[in-house]
Amino acid sequence: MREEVLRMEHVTTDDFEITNLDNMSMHIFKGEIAGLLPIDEQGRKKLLEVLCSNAPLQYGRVYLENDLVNSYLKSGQRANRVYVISRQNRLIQDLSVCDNIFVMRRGFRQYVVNKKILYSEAKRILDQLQMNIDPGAPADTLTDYERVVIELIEAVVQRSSLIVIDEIGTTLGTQELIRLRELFRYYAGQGFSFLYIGNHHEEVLPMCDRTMLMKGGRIVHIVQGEDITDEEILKVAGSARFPELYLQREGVLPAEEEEKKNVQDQTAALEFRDITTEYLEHLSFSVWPGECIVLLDRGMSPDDEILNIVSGDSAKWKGEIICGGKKLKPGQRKFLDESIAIIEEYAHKSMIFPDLSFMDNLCILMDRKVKGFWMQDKIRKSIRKEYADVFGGNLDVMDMRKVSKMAKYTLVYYRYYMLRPRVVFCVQPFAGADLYLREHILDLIQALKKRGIAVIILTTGSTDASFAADRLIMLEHGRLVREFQKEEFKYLWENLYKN
Amino acid sequence: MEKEKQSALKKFLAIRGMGQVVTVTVGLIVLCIVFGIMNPNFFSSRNIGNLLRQIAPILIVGIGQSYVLITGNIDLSIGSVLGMSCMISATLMTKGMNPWVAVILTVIICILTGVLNGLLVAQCKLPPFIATLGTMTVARGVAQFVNGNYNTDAIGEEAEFFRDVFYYGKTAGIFNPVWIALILFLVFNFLLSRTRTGRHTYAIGSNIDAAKLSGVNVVATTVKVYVVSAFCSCIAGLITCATAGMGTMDAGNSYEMYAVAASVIGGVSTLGGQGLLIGTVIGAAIWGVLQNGLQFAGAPVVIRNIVIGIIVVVSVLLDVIIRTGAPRKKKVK
Repeated sequence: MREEVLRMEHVTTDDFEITNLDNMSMHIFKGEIAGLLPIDEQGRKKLLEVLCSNAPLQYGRVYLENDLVNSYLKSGQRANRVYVISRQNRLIQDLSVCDNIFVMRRGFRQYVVNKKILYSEAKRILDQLQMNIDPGAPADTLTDYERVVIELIEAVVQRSSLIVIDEIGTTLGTQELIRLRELFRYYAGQGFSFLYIGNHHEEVLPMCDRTMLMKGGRIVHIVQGEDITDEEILKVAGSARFPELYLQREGVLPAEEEEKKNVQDQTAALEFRDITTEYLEHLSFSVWPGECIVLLDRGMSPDDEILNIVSGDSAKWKGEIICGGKKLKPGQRKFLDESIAIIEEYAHKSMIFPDLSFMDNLCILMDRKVKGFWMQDKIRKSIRKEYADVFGGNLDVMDMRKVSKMAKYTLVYYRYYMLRPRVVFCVQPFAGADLYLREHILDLIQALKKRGIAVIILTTGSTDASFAADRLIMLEHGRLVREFQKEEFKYLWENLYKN
Repeated sequence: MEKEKQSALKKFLAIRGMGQVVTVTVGLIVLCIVFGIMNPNFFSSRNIGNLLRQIAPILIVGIGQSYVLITGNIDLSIGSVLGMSCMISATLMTKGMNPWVAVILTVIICILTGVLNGLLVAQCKLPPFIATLGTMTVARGVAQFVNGNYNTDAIGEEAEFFRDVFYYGKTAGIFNPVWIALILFLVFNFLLSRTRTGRHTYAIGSNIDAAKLSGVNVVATTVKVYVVSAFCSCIAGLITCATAGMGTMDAGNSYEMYAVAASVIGGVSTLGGQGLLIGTVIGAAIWGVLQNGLQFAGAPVVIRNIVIGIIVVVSVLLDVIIRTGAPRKKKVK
């Protein structure tokens, strides 16, 4: 009989009037890699709180390694030996790798630190994993993948009962995820247990032995291995539009008829010609007005490099960038004002000004279009009228904390819809978004396209991007390896997370 | 009609920071009533005139500091720039220069200090505390250096008009410093609330990364706010010079703290992104009323400082709690 590491029985939690986990039951065995695929966001954050720090329960019990650690009768709120690896860096940046692994771990009791012993022990572990990392190197020199591996080692060294991997798919490339899967398997073989949380089933299913689908704060379906089809998942999700989109991608349904434009007659919205940086190698592509392309890098994310170039933050690049017929010079910031826009990942946080009102947030860039915009109440009134259908009562909201995540996404995309730049770069637009929000973001991207704005999605593996994309450019370690047309996407997604 | 009135009031109160402004306004009224009861002379026209004149320089430096605080930075050089302005203008005037030429030169030098502050913070990425601490020391050094480490002599009869304009004169029965403060308030309030630079100022303080991604020129905007701060300090320095009729090297000592006090009491957030200049007006008024009222009540300077210090700390604490705390939720019965 397999030994259970975690057992949650009928766990129900609530924060004031909001129920998070709703009769949630799950178990994870020793040496198992369990997957969790949240269909919506309900209870997701709370689950981590319950697992890590025994947040109070309204009902139910939680057992960790056969010990009752939390129940509705008694909740000590003490920390469990559960380690969370997420996109947030947990390493102390100025300390060395071996200090992070050994000295910073919970339970390190030695007063005098023997650097030599720690160094050699760290070296031994890293060699075992065939990782070429210097244990004496400061943590801030590590790549995202190396950082995740070091955090994994830290979790193993402190003998964590459960290692939770929370949505790292947006940080790492698909090849890195495949390599990481081997490490998980290695440590699972040694008796460590994993809970892998991700929003995309294409990513989660190949990673895990068993995947639980979570909806409305409870487990609604369990999949062994990869034994489930897209349609079955969508049936569980109960999404109205996604099945249709999936079927379009699979070629079962014809794609929505889009207005065919003769691109030959138009000027490209943006052209990259032979761009070379520290990471990118001779990258060339172009995007046309109203077109959406995906730049997918299977190695590591190229966002920083590309964004630094187009925003003028970096002048260290060679090649030519033409935007609307004008040449972009290295270090030139002008284009970010006029022709190029950037929507960062987690746009509901990264692109919002929490201290400004909803209307100010929406119109923050309008002064580029209308001189003296902030002095002209008439224009603001007309905007309010024009977009009342889109935003409803939110237009009167002064405190952005009262605005929903979905409305914040709409605000950010419509900010550029109104500004109408030539091209919008969307960095990992679906990161952290549940199925319903992903549908909504797709609609927003479509709206930009219909407005004649070119959209470039930068991603490391989000399959949702293909729903909005007309073309996909695949990079590997900064080099263009292949360009996919819409009809070839199916093949790509089937093989993306496979060796 | 009633409904319209209600929604207008609701809208007014919904402006971020307005709640705190209303609260401190009520506090100011209560303070005035209390001090008025304690000493009826508090409401005499003479005292009110003097009180307003006393508040004016604090309000002026408060406006500058508010601009800087809204971007999420701080300017510690305000007091020293004020001292520098006072000393440079007085020295030039005692050397026989036309007072207005001296004023223009002083303003240019102070603005350059603001540009330096802005560049150090935004371009060189120095922590604002350290950068402005440096310029604070440099500006104080300049104030001591310009007249060979001595206070200046009296600025003379040629500068009588200058003294009238900046301190002693009255327009429409109100002392000129009050008018100067009012004009500066109106101008800078307009800039902050109705212009692109104003929105960018709030945007930088609210989310600097989003501001950068939106194409806001963070360096230029930060330089502008430090220039505003230096300009305000300069004007306050000129008022100080006109008041004393000479340049004193220690002019403006601790004014940076008074400026912070006026701003934060009035609801300007030290975390950036929030604040209204009308709040700074009320904050400066509270500061002035407390000083004046406690003086009337016979409280020693030490007690006045302690009271104001406590009020500042409580204001900042409230701001931090409100800003970092979770939004209030209704509890289910």
